[in-house]
Amino acid sequence: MSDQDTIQSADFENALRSDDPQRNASATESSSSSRSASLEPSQASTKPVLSLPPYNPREPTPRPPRPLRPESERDQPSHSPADTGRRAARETRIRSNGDRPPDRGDARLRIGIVGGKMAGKSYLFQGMVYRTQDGELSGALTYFLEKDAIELWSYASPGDQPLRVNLDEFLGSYESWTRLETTRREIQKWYRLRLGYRCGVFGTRRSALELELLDGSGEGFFEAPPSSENLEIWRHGFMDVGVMIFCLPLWVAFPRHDLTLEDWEQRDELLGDFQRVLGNFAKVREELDMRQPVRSILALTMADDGRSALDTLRQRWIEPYMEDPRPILRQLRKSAGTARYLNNAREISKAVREEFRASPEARVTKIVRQLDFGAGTPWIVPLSAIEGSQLERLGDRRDRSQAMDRLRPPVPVHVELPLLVALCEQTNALM
Amino acid sequence: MTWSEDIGHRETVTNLPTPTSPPNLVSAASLGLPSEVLTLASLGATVVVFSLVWGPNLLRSFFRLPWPASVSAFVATLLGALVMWGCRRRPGRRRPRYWALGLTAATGLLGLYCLVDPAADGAPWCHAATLAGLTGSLVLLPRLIRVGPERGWVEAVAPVSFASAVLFLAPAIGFVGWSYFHEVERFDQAIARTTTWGAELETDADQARNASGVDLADLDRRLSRMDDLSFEGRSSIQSLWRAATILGREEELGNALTSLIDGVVEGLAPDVAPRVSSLDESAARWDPEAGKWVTSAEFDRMSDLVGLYYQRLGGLFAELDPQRIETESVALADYRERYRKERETLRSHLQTTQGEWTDHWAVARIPGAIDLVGPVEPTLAHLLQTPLLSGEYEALSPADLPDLLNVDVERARSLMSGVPGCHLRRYREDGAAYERVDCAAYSPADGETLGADLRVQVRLVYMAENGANARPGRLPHEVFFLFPVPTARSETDYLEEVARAVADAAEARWAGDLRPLDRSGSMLNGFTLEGAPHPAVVYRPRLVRFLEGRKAVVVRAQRRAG
Repeated sequence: MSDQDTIQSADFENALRSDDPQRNASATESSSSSRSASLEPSQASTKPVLSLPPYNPREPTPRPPRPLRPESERDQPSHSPADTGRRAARETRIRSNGDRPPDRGDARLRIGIVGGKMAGKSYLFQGMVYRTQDGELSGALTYFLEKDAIELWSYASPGDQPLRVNLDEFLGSYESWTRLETTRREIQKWYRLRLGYRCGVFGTRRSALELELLDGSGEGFFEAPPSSENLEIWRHGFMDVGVMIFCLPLWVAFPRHDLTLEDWEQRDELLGDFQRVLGNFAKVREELDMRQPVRSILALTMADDGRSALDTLRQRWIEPYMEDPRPILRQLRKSAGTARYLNNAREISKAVREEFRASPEARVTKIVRQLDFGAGTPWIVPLSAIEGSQLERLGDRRDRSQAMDRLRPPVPVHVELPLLVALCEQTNALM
Repeated sequence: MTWSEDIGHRETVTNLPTPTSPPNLVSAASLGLPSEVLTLASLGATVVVFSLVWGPNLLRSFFRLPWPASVSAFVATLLGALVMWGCRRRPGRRRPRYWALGLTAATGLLGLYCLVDPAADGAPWCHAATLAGLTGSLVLLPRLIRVGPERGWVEAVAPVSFASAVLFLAPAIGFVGWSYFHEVERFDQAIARTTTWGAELETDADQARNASGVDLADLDRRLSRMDDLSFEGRSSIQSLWRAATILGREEELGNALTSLIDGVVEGLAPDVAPRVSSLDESAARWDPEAGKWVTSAEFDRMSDLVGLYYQRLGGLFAELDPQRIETESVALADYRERYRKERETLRSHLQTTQGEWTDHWAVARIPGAIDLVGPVEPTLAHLLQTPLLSGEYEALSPADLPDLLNVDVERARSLMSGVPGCHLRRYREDGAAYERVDCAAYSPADGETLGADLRVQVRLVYMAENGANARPGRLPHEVFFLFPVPTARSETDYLEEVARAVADAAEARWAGDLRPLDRSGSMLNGFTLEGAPHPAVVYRPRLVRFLEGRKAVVVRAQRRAG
């Protein structure tokens, strides 16, 4: 997968627009899809989502009203005929979850995702939502998360009313292997993924892990020099995060020697973008006087990409998961499986740190040091949000819908690991 | 090689795990997340410690911590609550929460139960359970440590916590077990020893009753045997009863102690206990050849042994007092009753001894004797009224001067020769022959010695004729009193005290009048005892030389002429 961020998915956009009627008119039109076609105009424009009051990190969020999704909409058929049954079952769970007003409890963990353009932030976020949507299949998070306590909210800009996003609609483009277009500056959108977990002496209290993503133009925001406009967005989105996930494609850090000239040029560009993001984050911390330590996690995206020189890593860490995730997910339901997985992930993180040290380029070796924002060396997670080669193949096909009927859904690989690390880091969950 | 080959990365680490690779052998990751493994370790440590303590029969009977079980329980509750509170905001499943909650609740309830029921607080099962709970809580404590996921040693926390708790406690429990094993041994030995002591005292009492005279060597041997006759320290009567209660051997202990009490009380009976009056000589005598007073080494040794005897047996009787035993049982109630009765018997024995002219001093050597028989050292005036003889002359005391001056020599010989503490002597002085009866009374010696000091010597002096023997029917020439001045007293003060005591005693015993001997009007300068049929005169006391520079007060009484 070389440029999955360059093509914006129509499904994705439609799902977003259906969540936010106000933005429908101004949003850029994209090609239609089966998922968007399934929504009635009236449903899309009246009650597609819940609304939340404007988010203020210093105040507890009030409970949103009950979900008002009409019964007729709940019975809408799945967008992918191949997995109608599975999706229907999941929808039932989601619906029952939606009936319960969110209660943030007394502890909340906020995580931010940043990265340059085409670093795979959007896919990573989609992969995280996909992986955590079913409590039993949440991988390493299964042990910790409350079953079916996932919520996705979105809002256009800081201070706006957050709106509840329908997960199925949000994940439609991901499940149908749709390429995402490069996000444009004028249609940037905030997402907040809220994963509930039980806590308290009796395990009856609820708290949540919140992941904040600005699905906006990396070029126009993260890479741009901090301005008065940017600063406000930084302040809103990342002022109080305890953990920050920085995205960088694995192959950019560790390229094979036989890349094409185009790839080398793109690599230089992406590496430069990443450096600018890092620099901007450090500068913003200084400008906003953010003194609290931030644990950084380096998400080495697109780890399945053949352009990476770390073949053994791909073969040992990525491909077994990607080829057959079931035994791994089954093992990760148990405490022992999670502990073993975390142990192996720690070894991988150490090994990749060694690879950084071994890099011939100073601009690569210094990344690990640059990521220390007062909370120590970063945890490094090679991951893959969607299989790039498959996405590439499907992008070339003319009749995608026929091909998709024979395809299994994407397998996000290790995308939950940053969340697990963040959860353990912030709540001392291991102990 | 192109420029891209130079800049391309070469993989350096190839020994990588898969997502499901098993951890190495020493890692606890194969068991679960640290919170789960710590919970398992806590559960395991609780079970292991309880099994170690409650498994062996010996510990099950005897295990007892040096502090109340409720203390362990409440410390465990506190630690458990601390873990619960510290971990309340953490995500995760319910097992670790419920275990911490259950452990805290269980130890808290156990602590309350121990408070409500003191018997449970001392019970071995309660001590075992609270120690196990405390161990479980201790093993959980590492849950409060903040450890990030990047720390590889996080997986070692649970095994280390478990191992350290068990490895630390196992030897401690072993040590306690070993100690209590010795406690049982000590109990068995104490029972055997107590039974032996009781039997030996009974045997000694029988032998003492049948003995014709005093055997210092035998007394010395008996006392040597009593060197270890004590229930102090870990073998205290309280410890023994507690052990007996736990072992269910109270009756056995009660029987052994009862036989010992019998032996002790029997050993202090007046006809059994050794006495200085059984010696043929007194503490000091006048050596006419040397012309000075000399002490008796044999008397000193005897009086030391007698004092030690009373001290040992009296102390043992005090140690056997069940008053400080906290537990209650049928056997103990019987023992209490038996002790009360024997105490009355002992009081009777001691009161008898206390009323004896020569041997009353030994009662003062018994620890706590004052609680049994009241003041143990009589005043001089009171002492002078103590009967010298038993039987027919029971009422004849040194203060009965007119009566004493009318005891003829034949009656004196026949009576005094068999009376302990009185000795018949013949001697010559200044060319004249005398025959006399000496009766001595003693007081507990000052200082570290347990022996006795001469307090009063009374002599009935008869003039002898035809060489050495007094003529039959001869009445006493005089009654002679010797009062050695105690080392801590001034001679003049003591002289006055003696004079006053003699006058007071004589006045108390004499039915007739007392008249001063001179015109001073004071009885201290001598007095006469007026009235038929035996008037007597008591001369003014005077100081004479006694042992080693000490002085003694001498008082003489004679029949009044005409």
